[in-house]
Formats: sequence, C-alpha cells, structure tokens
Amino acid sequence: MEKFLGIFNRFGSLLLSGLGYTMFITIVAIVIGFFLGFLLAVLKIYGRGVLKWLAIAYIELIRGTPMIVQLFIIYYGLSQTGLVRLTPLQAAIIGMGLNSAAYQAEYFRSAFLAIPTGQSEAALSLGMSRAQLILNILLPQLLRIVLPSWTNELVALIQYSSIAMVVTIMELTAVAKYIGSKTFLYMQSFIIVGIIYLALSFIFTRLMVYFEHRLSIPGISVTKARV
Amino acid sequence: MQVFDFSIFTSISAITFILEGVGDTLLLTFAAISIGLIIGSLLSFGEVYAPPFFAIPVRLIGEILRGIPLMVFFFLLFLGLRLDVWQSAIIGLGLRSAAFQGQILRSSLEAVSIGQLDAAMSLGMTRPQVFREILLPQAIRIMIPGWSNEFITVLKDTSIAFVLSFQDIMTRADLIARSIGRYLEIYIFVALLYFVLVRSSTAILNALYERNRIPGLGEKR
Repeated sequence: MEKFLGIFNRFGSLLLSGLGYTMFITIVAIVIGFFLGFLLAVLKIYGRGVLKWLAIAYIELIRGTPMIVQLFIIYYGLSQTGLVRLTPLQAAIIGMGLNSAAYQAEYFRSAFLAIPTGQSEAALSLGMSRAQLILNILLPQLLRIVLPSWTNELVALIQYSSIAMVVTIMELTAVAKYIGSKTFLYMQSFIIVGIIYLALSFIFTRLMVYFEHRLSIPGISVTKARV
Repeated sequence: MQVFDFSIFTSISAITFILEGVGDTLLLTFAAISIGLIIGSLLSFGEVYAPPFFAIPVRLIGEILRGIPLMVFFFLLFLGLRLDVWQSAIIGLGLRSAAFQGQILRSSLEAVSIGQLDAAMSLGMTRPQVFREILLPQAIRIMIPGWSNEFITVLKDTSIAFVLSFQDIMTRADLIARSIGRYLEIYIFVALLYFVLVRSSTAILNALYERNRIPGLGEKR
C-alpha cells in the first residue's frame, strides 16, 4: 500500500499531466470526428457520383485498418515526404480524429436511416430545401438517436488514446511505463493507471446517460434506463 | 528526396519478411478469439444464470476488463507479471475479448423469446434440454453478426502487440521501415495488407452468417 502512496507522492504531477494529455487528445479527436463523421454520413446518403464513392471508400479503408498503422502513416510517413511536419501531439489528434470520423459516420448513417422517410417527404413537399431538411428536421432527432453509440465511441476513444504513446506522447500509459522504469514498480504503476482509466469510462458513461435523459423526446425516446 | 519511392518493393526479401508476419498475426487472432469465446461464455452464463451472489462479481469483472485499455493490459502482463511476449499478447487480447464476447453472447441468449422456453418446459423438457435444444442453437445464430465485428476488432487490435515487440506484421514492417528509412511506402503497404485480411475475414464471416441464418429472422446481408 505504501508503494502506491509513494508513487502518488513522487509522480503525482506527472500522472496528472498524463491524464491531461489523454483527455485533451480524446476530446479534440472526438470533436473532429463528430463534424467530419457527420459530413461523411451526409455524403454517403445524399451525395452523388465521385463524392459518394469517396466517402464510402474513406469509411471502409479507415475501418479496415488498425489505428496504430494510421498513426504511423501520419506521423512517420508524412514527415518522411518533407511536405508536412507534424508534432507528435498534432499527429495523434489528427490521426485519431480521422479514425473516429469513419466510425462516427456509420453511427450517423444508421441514425439517419432510423428516422421515418415520411418526415423527409413531408418537409420537402412543404418547400424546404435539402439543407433545411437536414439541419432543421433531421439533425435534432439524429443527435438524440446517435447519443448512445456516441457514448461507446467516447469510451473506446479514451482507451485507444493510449496508442498515442507510440508517437512519443506522455499520456497516461506512457507515464505509467516511465514510472515503472524509474522505480521498478511496474505492477503498481499500471494498476494505478488502469484504475484511472476505469474511473474515466465510468464518469463519462454516467454523464452521457444523464444527457440522454435530459435530451430525450418524451414518447419517441430510444433510450432506456441504463443506470 | 522524392516523395514516393516504390522501387523498394522490388526487393523481395523486405516484402517476404513482412508477409511472414501474417501467420503470427492470424495465429494470435485465433488464439485470442478462442480463449475469449471460452471465458466469455462462462462470463455470460454466470451473468444470466448464476445467483446474484456470483452474478454481481462476474459483471464487475466484465466491466473492469472492458474499461482498461488493451495496452495497459499488455504492460501489466509483460512488465508487471513478467510473462513472455506470446503469453502476454494472447492472454491480454483473450481476456479483453472475453469481456466483449460475453456481452454479445449474453444479449443473444436474452434475445430468444421467453415464450419458447415456457413452451418447451410445459412440454416436459428438462432445463438442460431446453438450454441445449432450444436456446443455444438460436442464440449462436443470433450471435454471429456481433461476433464477426468482434473478430475484426481483435484482428486489428493484434497490431497493438507491437508495443511488446511481438513479431507480427506491424513489428516486422516497423523494423524494415527503420532499417531502410522509407516509412510511408512500408506503412501504406501494411495498411493495405490489414485491409485485405479484414475484408477477406468479413467475406468469410458473412458467408457463415448466410449459411446459418434462421430463415425469416434478421436481415440478408
């Protein structure tokens, strides 16, 4: 037990900064993925010709390859060309954002398909434009339908942000490894970090369930009490 | 320095060195999925059938396994418990997959309507009979789509064993890329290699789904 406390005393601030990196990468990446994913889903459903196929190819390619490879292409691959030189943090955020976009696009797409087509026909026959239809009728419902899958994506992304350590970012897992190498208390340091990750997933899941309840439309809500 | 230099692919040894990793990647995937299936079944049966005294710890174990990143698992086993590379990779991936496969099997078991079970019991079948003859054959079929996703996830996550220097596609590619100093071409090649593996597994698993689909239940793919 005093070993755990010793780690906290000596490396508390380091653990805190690791937590900061983990959260920063996760949140920025999921926001990038949110907007890009929405765009991809719209293109996949409503797009025509080249744009539609580009969106489909992007989603399939990203979902068909491991995140670690994507991160290596962006960090080591791109810097080799000399055209762009990204810092590790930029590479991790962009890589994970682009990755998350493909997954979120699929969530958005299935949410789009869950809304009855009668609503779209009614809106179009009232003279609304495509953009108005998407922004005013579909989007408000979409966000509510997509929220449960979005929770899963957020929790998954918190965990996958540990991959950022391969591009030399000192996030939580990397911090644990560093503490282990300094003190040889690998077991204890990884248990501490594991508990921090567990707490993060727990807090975010509860937070999102709370939002689901706050935002649910009475009567047509898809959410069930999951608490 | 030119941006792309695909002439490196004329060197056969570099390519075969990476391709030799395909075997280890697939072996790791199958081993982890099998362990996950066995332990996952136990977890799901525990959650569904065990009395609350056992069911709550089982659910807690599942939550813990799902809430911790794979990489932390790998390091706990490899650096903490000092297992070797193969053991850490298989046990880490397997335990994590067990938690997810447990969830998939549990929801499949619960998807079989309770009326069928009542009907079977009232016909005089015993509980083990109901389980074996009615519940399991349907649950396994319902499980296949979710299980296919899990298989693909494990296949992609084997690349994370890179941090243990497990000799799979990823680690070998990284060695080659560093030794010849061409990163972009090698990593794109590896991405395509994974893509081919993922797509062929998806095709095989979809065929499995089609063959075993309960007619009228679920959608055609």
